[in-house]
Amino acid sequence: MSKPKFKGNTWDLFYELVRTDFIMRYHNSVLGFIWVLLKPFLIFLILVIVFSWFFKNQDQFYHLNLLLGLLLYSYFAEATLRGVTCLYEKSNIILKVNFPKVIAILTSVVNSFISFIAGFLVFLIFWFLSKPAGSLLNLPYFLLLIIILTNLILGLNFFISIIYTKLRDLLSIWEVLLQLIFYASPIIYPLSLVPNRFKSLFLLNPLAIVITESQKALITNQSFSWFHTNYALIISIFLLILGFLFFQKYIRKIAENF
Amino acid sequence: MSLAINSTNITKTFNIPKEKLDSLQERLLSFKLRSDIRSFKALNNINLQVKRGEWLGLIGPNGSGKSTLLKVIAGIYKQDKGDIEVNGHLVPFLELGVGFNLELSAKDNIFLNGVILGMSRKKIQQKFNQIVNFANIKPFINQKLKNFSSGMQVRLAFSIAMQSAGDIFLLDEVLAVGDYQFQKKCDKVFKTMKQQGKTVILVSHNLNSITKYCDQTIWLDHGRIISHGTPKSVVNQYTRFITP
Repeated sequence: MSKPKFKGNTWDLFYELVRTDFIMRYHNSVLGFIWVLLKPFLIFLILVIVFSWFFKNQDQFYHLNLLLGLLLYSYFAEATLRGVTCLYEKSNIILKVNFPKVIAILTSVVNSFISFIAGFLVFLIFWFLSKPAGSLLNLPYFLLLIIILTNLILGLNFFISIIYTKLRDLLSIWEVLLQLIFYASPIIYPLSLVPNRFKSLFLLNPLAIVITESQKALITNQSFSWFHTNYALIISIFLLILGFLFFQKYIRKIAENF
Repeated sequence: MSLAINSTNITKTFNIPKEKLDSLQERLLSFKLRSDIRSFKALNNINLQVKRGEWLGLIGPNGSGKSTLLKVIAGIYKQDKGDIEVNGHLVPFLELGVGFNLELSAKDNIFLNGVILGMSRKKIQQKFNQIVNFANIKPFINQKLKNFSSGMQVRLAFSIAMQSAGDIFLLDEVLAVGDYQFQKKCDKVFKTMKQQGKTVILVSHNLNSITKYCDQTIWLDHGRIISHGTPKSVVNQYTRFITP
């Protein structure tokens, strides 16, 4: 005898939900999946033209830094925005079948991650054309930073997906917060522009650390700040565990929120 | 004989806000952050045992707790008190075509709905032709579901459900939909399920199908068991009660 549980194939369910999400994104578009690569390419091209020709920026790698910063930020923004609504959107399934709801959270991140990887491949094209000092030998360090970022996203999504089922304002609040996070992270300006006395405060933001350290690794080849990276790693793991515990506690009653 | 479902003292209370305050604006405008809550006992001390291969019928007026009971057994709602034990692969059919996405093709929807019902992709692949033939939609398999008539959608959903691998089914008013021909098909399927020894809890307002298929019947009202016994006697009591 056992408690009522989902007896199906969890992995296959995950696969089908991700696939549905992916198809829904590009359905009815003429170019379809080509957009996964074409969109970041066109956006990057516009940015490069604007910043390297019109502004004649002193920093010759300004556009590369910008692209990398935007790429990381977009991953964060897109994945968490999907995270806010990911349980609510699945309410019709949640109310009819008992399945491991963690799948809904993971699904919200996977498709944003696919876009991120596609964007990164496009970034590499611009990288090869610009030949910066950073080396691809630093990719393992970059991978660690991506893991930190993904932990942060998952941890946050565990919280916001549950809260949104009770409080619909969260989507608007989150959109505003994302704007704040955008300007609080060194994306359109370099870290060197931040006054020294604010720098340590500024680097409390783990996203700022992920972006700066990625730029060091792949573009400027400055020495890494392991202190900050370790801090961000610990914060992200802490958030992930806390989020998961919160999620486990409140998911049991989730069907009553719809 | 071993039990397929054993639930003891199930109690489920819902806390329903008197008014629904889902956004901050609504909460601020009504000058309260917490709305008054009324608690509502949807299920009160429900005991039921279903043996393997047995069919249990649930009858009662709307809002008596039939669907809530199925959802608690399926693990969708968590009971406040009591224990539920399920012995076997339980598949809830609280609705046909759960997760159907109108923008996807019929083929994609077969896989999506199939995995939601607990089948593996491999199994769906094996049963794919059977599903398509039974639903009679072979020429339309790559068309989007939104171009299907509602009858075709139900037929497809039913065909997928039939192939699901469970041995305990929760059926909620599944028969209420579909035309005469479809009902005939359902009839046939039910007979096969009975022969195969599947365990079923059937919620229906159709008292004929309750007496026809079930081995025991429960009459629920206001979350309590009013009567429990053989389908004939319970249905008799029930009809005497509701006919003035």
